[in-house]
Amino acid sequence: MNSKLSIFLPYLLILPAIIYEAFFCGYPILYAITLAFSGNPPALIHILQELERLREVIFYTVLIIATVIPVQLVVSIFASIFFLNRFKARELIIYLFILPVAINEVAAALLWYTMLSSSGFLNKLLLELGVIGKPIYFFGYEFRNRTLLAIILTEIWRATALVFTITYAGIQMINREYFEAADVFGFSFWQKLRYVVLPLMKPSIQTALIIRTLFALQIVGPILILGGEYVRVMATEVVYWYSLRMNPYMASAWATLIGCVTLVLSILYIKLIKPLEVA
Amino acid sequence: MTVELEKVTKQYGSVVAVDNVSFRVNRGELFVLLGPSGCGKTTTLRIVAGLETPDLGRVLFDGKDVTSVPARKRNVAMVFQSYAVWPHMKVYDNIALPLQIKKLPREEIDRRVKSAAEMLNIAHLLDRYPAQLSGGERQRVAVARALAFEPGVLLMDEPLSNLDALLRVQARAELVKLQRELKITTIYVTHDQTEAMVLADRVAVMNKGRVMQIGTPDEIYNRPTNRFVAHFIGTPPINFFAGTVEEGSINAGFLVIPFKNIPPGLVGKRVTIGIRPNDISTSPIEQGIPVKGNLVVAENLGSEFILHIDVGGFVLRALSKNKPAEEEVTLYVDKTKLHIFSEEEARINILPA
Amino acid sequence: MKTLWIYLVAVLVSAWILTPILYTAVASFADMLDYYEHLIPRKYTLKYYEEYWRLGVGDALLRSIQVGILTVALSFLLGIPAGYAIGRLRFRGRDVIRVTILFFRVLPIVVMAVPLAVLFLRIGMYDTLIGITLAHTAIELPFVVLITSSIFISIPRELEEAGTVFGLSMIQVFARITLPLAAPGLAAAGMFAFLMSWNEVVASTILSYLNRTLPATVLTPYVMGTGGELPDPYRFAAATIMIAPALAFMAYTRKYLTAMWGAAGVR
Repeated sequence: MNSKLSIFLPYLLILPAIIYEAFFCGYPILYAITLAFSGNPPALIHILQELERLREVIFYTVLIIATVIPVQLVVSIFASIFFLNRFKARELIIYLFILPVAINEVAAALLWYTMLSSSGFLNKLLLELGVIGKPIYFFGYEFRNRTLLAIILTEIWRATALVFTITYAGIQMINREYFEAADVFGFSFWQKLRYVVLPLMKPSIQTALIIRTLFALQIVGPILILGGEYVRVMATEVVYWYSLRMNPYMASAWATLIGCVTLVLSILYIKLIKPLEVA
Repeated sequence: MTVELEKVTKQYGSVVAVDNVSFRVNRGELFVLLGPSGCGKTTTLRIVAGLETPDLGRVLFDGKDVTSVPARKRNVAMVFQSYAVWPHMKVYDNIALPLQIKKLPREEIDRRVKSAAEMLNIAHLLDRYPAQLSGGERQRVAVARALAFEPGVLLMDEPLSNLDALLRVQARAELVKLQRELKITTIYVTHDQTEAMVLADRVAVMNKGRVMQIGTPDEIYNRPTNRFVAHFIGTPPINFFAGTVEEGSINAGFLVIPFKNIPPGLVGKRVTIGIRPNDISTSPIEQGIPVKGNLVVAENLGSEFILHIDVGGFVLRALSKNKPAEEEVTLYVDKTKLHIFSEEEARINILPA
Repeated sequence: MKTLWIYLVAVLVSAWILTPILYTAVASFADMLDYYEHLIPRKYTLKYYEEYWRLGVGDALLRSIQVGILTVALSFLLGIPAGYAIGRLRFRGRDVIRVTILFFRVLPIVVMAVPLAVLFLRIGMYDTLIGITLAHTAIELPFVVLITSSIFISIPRELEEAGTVFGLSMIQVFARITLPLAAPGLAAAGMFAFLMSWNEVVASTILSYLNRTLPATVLTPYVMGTGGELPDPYRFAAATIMIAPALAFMAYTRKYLTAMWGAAGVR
């Protein structure tokens, strides 16, 4: 093949995708950023002025993200290790474990509503067994701490599957011989985890974190459905300003903030989790 | 087809993988690139194949410059170290696909596939998938695919190294037979010097990207032109010890060897002396210089022993059919088989007196 | 002893995943009064499903399937070449591109969908399946590129080089060696792409009005209902309607998942 073509070929292959994304995503992104800086005062500044609200939103956002993502990562890694064991129903159980991938965040929220509402599964079960006398309330302003728990639980239930898909693929790439060598040298489970599994899983952990964080910052479904008016995160602010307050400027400002946080965290992940150079 | 490399150089970042390599392979010759891991032999082979382009130098097929010709137009066939047998196709299709691409008529393809399969004893496996075959069988499929292609040049990248020892000897013999029969120009890469000695018409010994010596197995073995080649070729490895050049002789401490026509500039210089274990005997031989020593270790190879003899602060290895009865041993060093190397590690050609 | 623990964990995992799904499904068929009384309802009804059917859930289902298939097709058309380039070819800026293509998705879908809605209104693509397909593809494409690039990386380079040496052109190598070997992984990628489209709620709602996909239809009573509160039985039914086909689809294609993890794994 012509050597000149072979230099340009990769770029030619990627170009359609880039152009498509630039048009359908890039243009709206630029548009949103423009809106975010518009208005009198500029929407972004306005956000910083409403300190109470800002503090509340940041608090809930950080609380949910900082709880859900680490838990999911840890569970996924342990699940990946667990599923390395061969046992009879393994395929089936893996399939069940990643089932939530087929379930959207709204449906998942509805499912956990069924589980945790005052006439839901948990309450009816505990009532029938006589463990409690009256239902445990998870929803409602007075119970907003429990609502947070419900939201966190829903997110963990739903999205761990996605993180697991990535980490499980990553752990499969580790050459068995590294494990065997560790066994021969008498490594305990935790030593194997620390010196073999985690270092060699760095690329997939990095990918999983970037993708999961990106999604987590944009999730509205569970928070709206379970948390209603009183649990506010950055993503719900976007919806609030757009549909309720009909203010695209503020909505875009919040969206821009989400974008910035996502970028910053992603770059952090990339810098901090440096995959090993493989020979 | 003849193959010629002219001053081929290939660099990856700061690493020079192939350094100013030149050699010529004659039509029908089995030419071996031999060297330790990382010496550049595989990269050189891939440059001949067209899978890599050299930074400097040229590749010529039958005198024509093919350096910028893409791999698929070069009419070469390659047997990869991992065999690279396509797992999603049956054995028959693996061998047939290259011929289909060449747009050969169906009967011709069928004839060639069956003929190659016969030659490699895999005719009964044509309908199977590679996953159903053993490693050795897959290796044969790779070879059959290459032979059916009827290439101008056959390239082989350590095709035997993944086979177990027994299979390897067998496969080796079969490869030689096939190559001689078909007279295909072949370039064969290996790190195993026994393989090289057995298979090659000529060998190019490589180290760190450079060609150390090109010659027949005999030349490489008996007249290594530098220290590296002398050490790399020969099992068990050659014995090396230091000596000083004096008037009319070389003094190695435990051993003084008289030499004829020593160049005057060499007197007083230090040299390295090499002698192969099989050129040291435990019984008197013609041209043998006696050396006394003590037996340290006797390694039992089954058919013979490797004796480690301390000759005064230095241990010589010698091959012997029998293990000596006593600790004190007298060795006889064949002075016609000594190799002398200068401080720059080049061969010095002087004859013993 | 170890096996015992393994099976214990397996049972717990199954319960953890299946309970919410199964209980909601059961609840969706239950008579509401009975549901509030008992843990396991005794009386059942199809009432709410009939409501949803009248609301046009059947058509919505079809539309979701159509959009899903079209989205997979378009995502593959754009994403596979890019995935191959990133996964297989060596070129300047590869690592940068691999990461930055994800950055197209850092803003919430809401904020991207509204300008798109305005655009679509202007060119008459509002409320069309094509419009929704275009939006879904835009949402998915970075991930499709990521997944397919991993799949192509996992194909041993030597198999392609052997093709090159033996006379195959780049296109022939791709068609006869790379693609067949990548097929199972690509099937899994297609499955993910279809599910992503099936589950897409926000853009589908914003970009359509009458011709809605399933999630949008099923949640319409939610948004239109009394102050955004959807009565319980509709919640159960809505969830079940959205989930059931997806689960069935995933069950049908689950063997490709092992292909995606199996051979050399995804990166």
